[in-house]
Amino acid sequence: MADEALRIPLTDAERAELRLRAVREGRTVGGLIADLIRADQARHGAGTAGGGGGSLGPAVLARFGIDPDSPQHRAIAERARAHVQPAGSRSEPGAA
Amino acid sequence: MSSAINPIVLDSSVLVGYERMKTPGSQALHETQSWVGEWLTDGVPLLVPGLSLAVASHECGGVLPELDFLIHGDPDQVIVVPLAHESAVAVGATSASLHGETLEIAHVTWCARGGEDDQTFRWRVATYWPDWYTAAGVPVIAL
Repeated sequence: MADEALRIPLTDAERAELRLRAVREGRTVGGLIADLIRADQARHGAGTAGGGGGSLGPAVLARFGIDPDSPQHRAIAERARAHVQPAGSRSEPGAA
Repeated sequence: MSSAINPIVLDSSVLVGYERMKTPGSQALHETQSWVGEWLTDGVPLLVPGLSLAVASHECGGVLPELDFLIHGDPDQVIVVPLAHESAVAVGATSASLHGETLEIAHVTWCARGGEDDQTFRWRVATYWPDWYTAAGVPVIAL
């Protein structure tokens, strides 16, 4: 798991309350915030985006009569796949 | 959903190409749909900045049956990014002008930065007009 610094805009009072809560629970502020975020994401059913590869892709191709095995589509698909990046990957500006 | 994948941002040039089924310039049929279909199949989340959708709507006279199918097909994978409080303020502040194209570029750029202040964080922008983003500092996928 990669650690990343995240700037969270809180007032001094909010920050103080968060520190007090963390200490009261014997936790670090960072750990407390991470759990709060995970709980909120779980409530929203967000989870991590992507990776599922559902049925919409094939449905789009079928809707336009695109044969996934055609040379034209395979050529584009190969180029498209080259731009699929795992979450957290970083790219430099300019042509990717 | 299983392993996470970085989203790709679609700008208005891609949305219009998708809706009209013809690649801008070359007029090649169905190229944009192939790109989008493959990314969807690979599980890539596709971000549609609201201002890009507005520009595409204007270009297409407000009639967007194919984009509607795409957007309604999987709201977890094709995500229209709204202009809300913080994003609206950021877009207004960073846009070079009030012209629609520059406002769109600012919104696309905001999406590519994942709502982060971290200037090194960038998702890729798919576009038929890569020159639009020369000064934006975001990586582009030139279709």
